[in-house]
Amino acid sequence: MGRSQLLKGTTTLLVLAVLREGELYGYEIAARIRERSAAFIDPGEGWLYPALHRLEAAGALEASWRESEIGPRRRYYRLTRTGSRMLEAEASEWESFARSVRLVAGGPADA
Amino acid sequence: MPELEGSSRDAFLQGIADGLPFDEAEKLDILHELAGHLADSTARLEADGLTREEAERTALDRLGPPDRLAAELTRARRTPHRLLAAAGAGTWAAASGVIYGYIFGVLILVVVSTVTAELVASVVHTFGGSWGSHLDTTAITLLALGVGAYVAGLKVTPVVAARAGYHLGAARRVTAALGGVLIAGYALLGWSGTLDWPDVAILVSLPAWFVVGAWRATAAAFPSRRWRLQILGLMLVVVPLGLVVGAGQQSQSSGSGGLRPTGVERIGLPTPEAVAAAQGIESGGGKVGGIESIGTAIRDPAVLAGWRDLRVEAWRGTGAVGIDPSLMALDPAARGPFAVGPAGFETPGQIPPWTWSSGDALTDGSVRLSGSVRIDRSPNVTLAWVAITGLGPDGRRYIISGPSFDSTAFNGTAWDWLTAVIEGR
Repeated sequence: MGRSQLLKGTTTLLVLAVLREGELYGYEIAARIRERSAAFIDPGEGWLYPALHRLEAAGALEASWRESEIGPRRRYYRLTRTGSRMLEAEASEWESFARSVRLVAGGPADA
Repeated sequence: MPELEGSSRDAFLQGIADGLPFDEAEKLDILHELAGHLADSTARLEADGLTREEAERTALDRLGPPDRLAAELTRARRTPHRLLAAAGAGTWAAASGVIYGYIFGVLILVVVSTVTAELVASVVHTFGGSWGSHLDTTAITLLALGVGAYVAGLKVTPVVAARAGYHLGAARRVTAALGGVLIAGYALLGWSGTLDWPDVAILVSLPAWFVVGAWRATAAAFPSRRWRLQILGLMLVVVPLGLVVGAGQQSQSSGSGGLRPTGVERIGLPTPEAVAAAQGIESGGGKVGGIESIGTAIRDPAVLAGWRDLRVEAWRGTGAVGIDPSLMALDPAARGPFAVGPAGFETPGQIPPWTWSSGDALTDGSVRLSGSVRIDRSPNVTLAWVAITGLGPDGRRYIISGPSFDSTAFNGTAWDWLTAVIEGR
């Protein structure tokens, strides 16, 4: 399975996780994910904005425009309560899934 | 369009804009966000050592093809909440479109019809003739409603498309189908009044006006100058129809009389002498709300002992009330009554179900024989002959009272009109 296939199932978790620390705009979110994963997760940004807009429509994120001192104005996203609950659920589900995959693959479950 | 540098970014953002089915404000928000992303991404890649051109191309490549991104953004933003908002906004747009179009249609139709009528009258007068017409308010009202339906179709489609997040083509199919069905329901069952066949034709065509409007709708601002010119052209075409209808209309009048119209024998045999002799001076009737009532006083009800199937019959007449009574006759083509109603002896103190009488007892001890029949539900009947008839002891039908005449016109919904035509009434 390619990384882009893996990414499809974890988009929500990745976006919500980086926004847990505070407000970010689209490019920053992509950059943060790239940095945190040591550039392992770097499939391009075509997936990012549809994911942000879907989460905003679902009430998990709130967005607001702000002027920038350098460059164009930015659209900042921040987590809502719904988004926080969604993050917990997604993280828990991912943990269970990853543990199961490790067990099947023969590795330690708590690695 | 956000500030852009370079034709490839222009083309990319234009591709996104073309693929988004939202309104301008929402599109601009998305385009600004993506333009900002491209600027950041390009700056970062330049800082990493790429040339400006390479950095820009790479930034665009990382976002993927614009049509695919636009489609994914559209799907992401298309929520049930938007569909509800679209339904609300669409209803409002349709209502305001009908009102706008109706007012515009009435103004144009009245002005152009009046001017045209005056011009035609002047020309005819110049050649020594005379010509007169009046505006047919029903036809004008219905044609203006048609304009309203057309404008509603024009307005509602782009609003629904933008609010729901669907492209105009998809929204067209939905609004045309839904609006067409709703308008068809109203046109057939909702509108009620005095109708003739051109009115019914306009009513039946109302869904088509809406569907054409929905199909011709664009995302451009409404109303455009071109649209106004189209409507004006349309009105110039349909005005002659309004004038023809107006010229064909007859003024409504009512009355009754003791005429013996040609063809009266088809209603029934003449009143038997004994029955005629038993009738008092009081007789009468009239028309209220399309229901014609007729009655006569019978001094000795026993004279009708053995009679059965007393009823009121309405027969189609020819000629017109108030022009030349001698021209009024039963329609030679009429094979039977076009409408039949109940008749019977009244019980003093009780109001009969046919409602004409107050139920008061007659002073000379006579008993009132009365009945009523609806005469405004038959297309193409402008004059009705109404009589009380009954089957005598010999089994033959006689006229007991009448016939009296009254002018009439069809009154009801387009559905009533169509079913009456199908049933041959």
